[in-house]
Amino acid sequence: MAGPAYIADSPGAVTKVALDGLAVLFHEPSGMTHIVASPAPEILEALQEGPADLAEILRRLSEVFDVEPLPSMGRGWGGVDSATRSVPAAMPPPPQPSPIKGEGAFAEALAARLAELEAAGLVRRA
Amino acid sequence: MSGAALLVRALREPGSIGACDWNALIGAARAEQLLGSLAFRMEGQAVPARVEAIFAAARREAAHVRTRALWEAEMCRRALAPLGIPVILMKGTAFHAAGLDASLGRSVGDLDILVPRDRLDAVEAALVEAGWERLKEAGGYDDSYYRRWMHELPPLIHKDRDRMIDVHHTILPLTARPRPDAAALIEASVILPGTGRDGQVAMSPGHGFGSRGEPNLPIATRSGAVEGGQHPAPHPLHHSPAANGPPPHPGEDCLRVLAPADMVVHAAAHLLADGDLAGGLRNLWDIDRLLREFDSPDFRATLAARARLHQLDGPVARALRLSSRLYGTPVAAGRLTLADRLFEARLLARNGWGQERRKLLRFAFYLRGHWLRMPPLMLARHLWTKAVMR
Amino acid sequence: MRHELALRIGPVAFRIGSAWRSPLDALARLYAGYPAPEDGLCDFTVRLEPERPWRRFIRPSVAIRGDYILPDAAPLSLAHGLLAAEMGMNLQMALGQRTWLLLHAATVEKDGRAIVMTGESGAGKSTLAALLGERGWRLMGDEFALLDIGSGALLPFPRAISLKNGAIGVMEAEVEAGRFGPRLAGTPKGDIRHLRPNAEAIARMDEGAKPALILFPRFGEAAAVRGVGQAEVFMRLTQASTNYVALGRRGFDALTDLVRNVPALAIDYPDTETAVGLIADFRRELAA
Repeated sequence: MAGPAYIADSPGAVTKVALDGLAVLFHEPSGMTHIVASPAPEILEALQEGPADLAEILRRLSEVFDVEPLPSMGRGWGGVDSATRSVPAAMPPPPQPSPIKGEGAFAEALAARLAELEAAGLVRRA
Repeated sequence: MSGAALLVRALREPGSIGACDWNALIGAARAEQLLGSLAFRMEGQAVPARVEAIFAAARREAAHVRTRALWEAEMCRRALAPLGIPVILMKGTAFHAAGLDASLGRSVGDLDILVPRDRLDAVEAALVEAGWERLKEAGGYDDSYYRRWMHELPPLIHKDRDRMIDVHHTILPLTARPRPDAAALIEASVILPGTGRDGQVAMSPGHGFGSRGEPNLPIATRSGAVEGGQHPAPHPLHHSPAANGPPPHPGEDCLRVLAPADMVVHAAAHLLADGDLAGGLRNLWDIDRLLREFDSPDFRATLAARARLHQLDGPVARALRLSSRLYGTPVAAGRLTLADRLFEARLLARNGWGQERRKLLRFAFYLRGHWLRMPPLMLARHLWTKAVMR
Repeated sequence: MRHELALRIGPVAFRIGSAWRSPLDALARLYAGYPAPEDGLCDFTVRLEPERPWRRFIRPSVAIRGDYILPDAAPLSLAHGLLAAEMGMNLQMALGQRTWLLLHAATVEKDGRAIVMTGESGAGKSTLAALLGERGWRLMGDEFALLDIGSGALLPFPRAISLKNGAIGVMEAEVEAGRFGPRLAGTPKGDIRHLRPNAEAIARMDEGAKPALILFPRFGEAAAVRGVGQAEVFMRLTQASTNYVALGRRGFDALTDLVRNVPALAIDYPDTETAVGLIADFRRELAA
């Protein structure tokens, strides 16, 4: 059963600057800055092809990354830090269990990253 | 000339200022939250270089303020979409979203929305789910008083973005004497282009996002396109209320604003029927801008009818008189009453250092503000309960 | 307002109004030699007012107000009126500055190259900057660095340096008495004494400089130097900026340019002399 479909903004809405392994994003519609690690930029890239649910995003990403699902991620991996103000950003929340059964740990981490991107306003439900 | 009087003159007739006390003008403008509006009005006037730099910075900031305000509206839309209820933007955010003249340089603090009263709990729950938080302890006396008698929920603040949202169910406290017709406000409300199911971002000619050389203001649409500058469409706010879009229907996922006449009635209510007139010059400037933009014989008739419907004839009439008097709004306003002159004095009670003057007058209006919100019996009970709780 | 004083510091002009004369007298002495704003035109207004009308006379209580106000700010005693004026100017910059990207940092310059020192309060930036200012470096500022968005240059903002507790004695040994403000005891941060930048800093307050190095100094550890990754630098600089968010895309562009073009180091130092030595080494390397 497909989960909710997500949409990202068009490429013109986000300016990306790579800084040693992380990406700093300026999101024009919100005027907010986000510091993100993989796979967040890749998720946004994958959504450029059009709306997709978690399973479809997984499929698109597997074409970008190597085939093996990555090992189970710790809490801080690939988190979204929102540099929206001049105080230390809050730590990203711990990943919630995914309602969608995918490639196990990878799908769970992916669902968590999607939730963070949604909270930051970088993706939304279709 | 007092700081506030200088400010009013500059807003009303930017070319008439010439060599003035710029420090006083800017000091008063900042204190009255009108620097942005002033900066747009003064664009193109010959002013000293340091003053021009201040105005230029204010105009740049205005674009950012607009972006942040519209973003709050968009995140609110995303949070409330599953509820399928009408969500009506109000005040500064509404002006920005609708591309009205009143939005030029308009500062915005909180997001104000109007929703049906019977859906308040669901709205609050959806907002909390999406990251907004209550400010005070739920369940305490102030909170229960607030929920029972006020026209809005206690404010919520978003935990990441640090911005507040005020959820209204009508435009005046339930304890105030005029009883505006909230259902009529909702029924006459107008769907904003670009936020409805058709998913197209539309711009109206001569208004709105691209026409003033500002960065386009994307409101994210359901189709995913977040760009501005596409084909202009007739501005729905210029249709008569009856012709405006369908009434709210289940599954609706868009944003609305009040009908033009209701916007003016709300602004007048906010200025005169609620509170102590602090920040009044800005509220009155909103009214002046709205009246000029919407003015037509039809509009004048509709405004009178809506004012009567909402039991706000007095405040609306006074607002017209004050706006005409201070900002030269071309409306048939009638002569100033004695009471009007007190209001005028209160509005102008700011000097060039940004200080409020006329303490006794301000205190009188402060008392009036409390009295407006609370009939005497209730006021006594409220104060007694607060005293007992100490 | 009963009394007023106007000051220009680098590109920013302030007018300070006060219900009492003493804070402005102290301010005028501290800023002796600073220019007045041309035609009296000011960017920001600071007001020193009684908390309540009767507090103008009875246990005088100085509320810091102005264009921008912190609603819950505690008032200061009249004896600390000079501090209130300084805090008032800081507040206007922190809340109202929209022309330059502000970084909470001390900046010194030599041979056209500027070093920006930023970090938490108490890391010793002000003391370091003050000392370097007496050792052949030009002090551009000890509280705020002003980054010009178009050019990427830093602009001077040489306010009086705020020295606390132990640092006061350090600088008293280096600098003649006439450049100090009064010793203010019993402030929330302990003892404070303000130091006027030297004549060169004042004379060159309109001369910007290109940033050559970003430093994150940390006081109280054994001497150590390490590089800082660009993402971390970016993150820390947004935290050190009060107006990054308000500048939107322009702020993003300016800060990403700064981070990509200027190297960054974190240094630990056990005492200021060691830090001064380390910084002299960096300068030689940068000049090489």
